[in-house]
Amino acid sequence: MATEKVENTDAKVSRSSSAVPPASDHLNSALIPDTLRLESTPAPDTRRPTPMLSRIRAALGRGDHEPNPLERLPRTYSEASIDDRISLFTAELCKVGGNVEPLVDRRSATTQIAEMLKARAATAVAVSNGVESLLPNAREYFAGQGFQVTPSLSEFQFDSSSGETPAEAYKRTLINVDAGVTTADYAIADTGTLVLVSGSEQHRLISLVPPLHICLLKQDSILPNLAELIYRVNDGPYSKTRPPLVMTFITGPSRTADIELTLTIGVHGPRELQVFICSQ
Amino acid sequence: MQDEIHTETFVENYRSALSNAQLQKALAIATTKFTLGRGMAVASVGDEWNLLRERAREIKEHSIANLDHYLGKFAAKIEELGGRVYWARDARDANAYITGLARDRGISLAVKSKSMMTEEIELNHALALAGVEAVETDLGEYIVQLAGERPSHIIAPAIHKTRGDVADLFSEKLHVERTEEIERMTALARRVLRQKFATAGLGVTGANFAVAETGTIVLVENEGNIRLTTSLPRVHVALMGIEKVIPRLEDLAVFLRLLPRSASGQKMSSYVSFISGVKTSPIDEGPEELHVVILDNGRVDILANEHLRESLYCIRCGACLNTCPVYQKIGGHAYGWIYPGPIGALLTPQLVGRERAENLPFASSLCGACREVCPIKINIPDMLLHLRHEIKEDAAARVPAPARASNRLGRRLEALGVKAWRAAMKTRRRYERSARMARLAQSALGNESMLFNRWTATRDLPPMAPRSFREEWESRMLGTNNSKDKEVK
Ligand code: SF4
Repeated sequence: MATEKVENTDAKVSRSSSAVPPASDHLNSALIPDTLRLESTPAPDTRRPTPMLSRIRAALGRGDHEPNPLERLPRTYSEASIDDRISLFTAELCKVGGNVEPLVDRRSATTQIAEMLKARAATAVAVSNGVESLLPNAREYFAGQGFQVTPSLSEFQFDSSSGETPAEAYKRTLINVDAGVTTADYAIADTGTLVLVSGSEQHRLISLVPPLHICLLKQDSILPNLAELIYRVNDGPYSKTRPPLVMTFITGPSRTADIELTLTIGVHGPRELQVFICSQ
Repeated sequence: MQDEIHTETFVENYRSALSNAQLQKALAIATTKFTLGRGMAVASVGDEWNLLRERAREIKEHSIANLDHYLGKFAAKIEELGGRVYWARDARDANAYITGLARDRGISLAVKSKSMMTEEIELNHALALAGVEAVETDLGEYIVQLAGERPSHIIAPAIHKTRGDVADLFSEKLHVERTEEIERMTALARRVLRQKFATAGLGVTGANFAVAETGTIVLVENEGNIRLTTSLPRVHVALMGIEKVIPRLEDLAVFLRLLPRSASGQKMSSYVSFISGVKTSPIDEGPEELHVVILDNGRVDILANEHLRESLYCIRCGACLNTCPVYQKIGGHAYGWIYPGPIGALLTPQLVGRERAENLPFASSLCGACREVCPIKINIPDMLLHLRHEIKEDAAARVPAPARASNRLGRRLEALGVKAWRAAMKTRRRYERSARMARLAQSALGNESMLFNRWTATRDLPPMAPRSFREEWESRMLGTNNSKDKEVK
C-alpha cells in the first residue's frame, strides 16, 4: 500500500492488544454524564452585552417578541423495505467511488477485513472502540494476524520527558496508520451516505486520517433519506439540549476537482472507502 | 495574499480578462461543466426541486426577518455547549480577536479551510502581521495562496489556472520535480499539508449554516480538509456572517439537498460535519476550545434596506456565477473583490461602498438566469436594478448645484420626449405624421444638436431612412411589378 509517512514521527506506540471492554450501547451513552465533563469547561459568558442584537432588531424594525414558529417540515415516509434500502445505498455509494460488501455475517467481516489489509500490504491499523462492540475481540484478532494495532486514545499516557499530551501522541500515531476501521451509526440510502455520531465511539480521526477507511454498518440502521435521519436525531436518542458533539456525514472517498475540474480522489481524507453491511 | 479591493478599475479588469485567451478557454470549460452537472443533479430531483427552493426561501425569509431572535438563541446555545461567542462589528474587530487568541496561546501556525468570510476580512494578512503563519488547506485555495493570487470562483478558487500553471508553481515554490500529472500534484499537496495539520495549533473555518435550536455549526466539503481543520488543532475558530443562522436542525433536510446539487452537481458532498460545542471529557476527540466569531461587517446596513435585504439569503453555492453570461466571459477576478458574478455585483457595492463599486450593478444583462438557478430564488436582477437606481441617485446628489439644475432640465426634457412618443404611438395616423416630422427635424437640426447631445452621449441616434418601410412597400407594390422583380435580382 502506498503509505505516506510524515517525517519526525518515530512512533513509539505503547502497544496494547488487550481488548477494551465492549462499550455500552453508544446510542444511549451519547449524553456524557455531568461527572465526566471537563472541569475547565468555560462558564457561559453572560457579562458581555450584545449591542449587535439590538442593532439588528433596530434595522429590522421589529420588537423583541418571539417569532411565530415555522411550520414543521412534513416527515417523508418511505415504504422502502430493508432490502430496497440496502440496494439503493449500495448503488449510490458505488456511484461516488465507495465500495460496499453487502450482508456479511460478523465473523466473516473480521476475516475479510484482515484479507483486505494484507492485500494492500498494510501494516498498521487503528480500530475504533465501537468496532469492538460489533466484532468482539477484533483488535486482538488483528494483532494476532501480525498487524500493529493502534491503542485507543484513553490508553495513551502523558509523556513527561517530551511534554507530549496523550491527545498529541494519539494524533501523531494515527498519521502513520494505513487503515482505520470504524462503525457507522446510520446510513442514508438515497445519497449513499454514512453517518458517524461521535459520542462514546472515537472515530472522528480514525475515519479520516488513514488512507483507507473501513466502515461497518448494521443493515437495519440504513434510513431512507436525510429528513428521516434528522427526524431520528431530533426526536430519538439525542436530546436537543445536548446534541452529539460531532456528526459526520461521509459520502464516498475524499475528492477534489480543483485542478482543471478534474476529479481526483484522496486529497486530504481517505483514498478508499470500504463498507461492510452486517446482517444480524 | 493581497486581498485589496480592485472594484474601481472594473472596466480595465474586464477588458484584460476578455483579451486573455487562456482565461477565456478555462472559463468556457469550467462554466459549461458546472452548468451541466447542476442541470443533471437538479433533473434527478424532478418536480420536487421547486418545492425545495420555495421551502428554503421561506426558511431564509423567516430567519432573516427574526434574525436577532435566532442569533441570540444560537449564541446562547454555543456558550451552553462550552464554546465562546465573539460579536465582531467589523473586519478589524474580528481580526484583533483571532490574532489575540493565537498570541495568548503561543500559537504560530494556523490551518485554514476555505471560507469567504475570512477572505472578506483578510484574516491571513492580519495573522501574518501578528507573526502567525496561516496555511490554506483547500487544494484550490492552497494553489491560489502559493501563487499570491486571489480565488476566482466561490467554490473552485483556482479555475483560472491550467495544470501547467500549477505544475510550474509547485516546482518553483515547493522545490520538487515538475509534473503535470494531477494525481501526483494532489498527492504532493496532501503530503505538504499533512505536516501543517500535524503541528498547527489553530484551525480556522467558516460556517455554511448555524442552527439556532442546537447550537450546531454545519460545514460542507469534499476534500476532508475541513474535518482535519476542526479535529486536529487544539483551538477551533469558526467565522460566520450574521446571516448564516437557521432555526432548526430539520431545516438542513432542505438546505443540504439544495446546496451540493447547486454548487457542484453532487447529490451530497463527500463530507458534511455537524459540530455542536466542544469536548466535555478528556477522552473525547477534537479541539479543546471553540470560538465562534459572528460578524456584522456591513450586513446590518443591508438588513436595514428592505429593497436589498434579500441579498442576505445567499448560501454561496456559486450557481449564479456559472450561468451568468457576464461571468462566463469576464471571470471572477474582473469583479475586483472576493465575491464574483451576479451575487458579487449585488453584494460588493453594499459591502465595500457603492461609490467604490458603482460599475458592478451595471455588469448584468438583467437576463434573469441567476434567479432561475438560485436555490433560494433570490431576485438578483430586481435588486441590481434597485442598486443602479440608488447609485444614480447618489451620483446625482453629489454633482454641484448648477450641474444639478441642468440635470433636472435634462430629465424634464427626457420625460417630455417619452410623453410625446406615447402620444405619437396612439394611432397610425399620428405615428405616420410624427415620423415625417421627426425626419424633417433630424435633417434640419442634425444629430449633433444640443437638444440631443445628452441622449447621444451614451446612445446611438441612427439617421432615419428617407422613406418608411410602409411607404417603400406601397410605392413598389403599386408601381410596376416588373421593375420590382428586376430590383430584387
Ligand atoms: S445568489 Fe443564489 S445562486 Fe448565487 S451563490 Fe447565492 S445562493 Fe447561490
